[in-house]
Amino acid sequence: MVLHVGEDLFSTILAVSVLSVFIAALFHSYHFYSERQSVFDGFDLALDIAERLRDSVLATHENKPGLIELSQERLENYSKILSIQGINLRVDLRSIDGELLFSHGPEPNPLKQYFSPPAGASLPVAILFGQGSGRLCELTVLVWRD
Amino acid sequence: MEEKGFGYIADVLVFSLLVSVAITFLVAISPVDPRVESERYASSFARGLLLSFQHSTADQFGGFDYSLEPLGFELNLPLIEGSARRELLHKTVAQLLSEDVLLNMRINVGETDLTFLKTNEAMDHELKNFLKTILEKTIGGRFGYRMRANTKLIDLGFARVYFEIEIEEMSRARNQLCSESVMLSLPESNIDLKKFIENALGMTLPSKLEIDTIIEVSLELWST
Repeated sequence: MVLHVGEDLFSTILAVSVLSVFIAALFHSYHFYSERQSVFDGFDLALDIAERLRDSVLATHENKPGLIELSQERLENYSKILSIQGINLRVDLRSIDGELLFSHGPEPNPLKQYFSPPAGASLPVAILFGQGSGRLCELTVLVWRD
Repeated sequence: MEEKGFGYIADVLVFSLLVSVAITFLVAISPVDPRVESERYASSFARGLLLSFQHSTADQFGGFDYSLEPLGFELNLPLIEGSARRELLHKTVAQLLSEDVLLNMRINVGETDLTFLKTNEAMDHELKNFLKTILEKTIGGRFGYRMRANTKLIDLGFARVYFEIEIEEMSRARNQLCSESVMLSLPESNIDLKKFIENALGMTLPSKLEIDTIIEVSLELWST
């Protein structure tokens, strides 16, 4: 193939430019696709953990569905299990008026987690309060990977 | 050669077209269906809320009280002012619902609703407001909702005895995400409940008639 200065060179430049634009678009799409997958995976993981905390890790000794008791020790042990898998956990418990009643775990660092933002899920639970009665609260779980 | 150059462009354009089609497919095919995730979350949320109603007491929502006056208003006399109010602070939301069922069963004869002057009639109305406040605080804004509590219909042939209460906020609701329900047991045995209905009707019910003491509480969540 012999390139002529003029139309052929122009054609080649145009062809390479168009190809570059489409390759860039392909990478962008793939990035969008993987980011979306990561958001869903993160949410799924956060919801799984929130359900596990509610249904087993923090369940009361009588195992009453929907009622949990707060235990730093149990949360600590569960956080250790998650950290072995590279997952960081933050648990917040707020009253239905939004008042923070309890928290466990480190807060995510916005700079460190720029490329892997934390995912969260919150569920209503009743916490054991006084003699057998419960207080309706919102259990918020934040998870992120290092 | 000039023609060849334009031929290359045509090839590249065809290739680009193929890449575009591939990109379109890639973007369209989502790794996870967002609707499935929303339904899963809504379902877990609704189940958690219904279960927590069995443990959450009225005092944490500002308390629950109602007037015992049959017509719903109180006499404004200094000595008896407030004496006809019934305060239920330490009952759970589920217990309040059970109590409302026992105190405010509906009796329909034909198409007519037999409404007697009941001293606890105001409870039904106040409980609706109370539940609406709780649901607004816990769900409001996130989902549209419809909560129902009802008993199994007792069909006596000439009359029907039932209980039903419904609270909803569906002004911005679009698609139903889930419907979760829990069964609550009335704090009365079948025999006691039968006697209770017999007293209300003023007649003896057939001995073979079985009465269910279960209340079904369901919560639907809708996307907004």
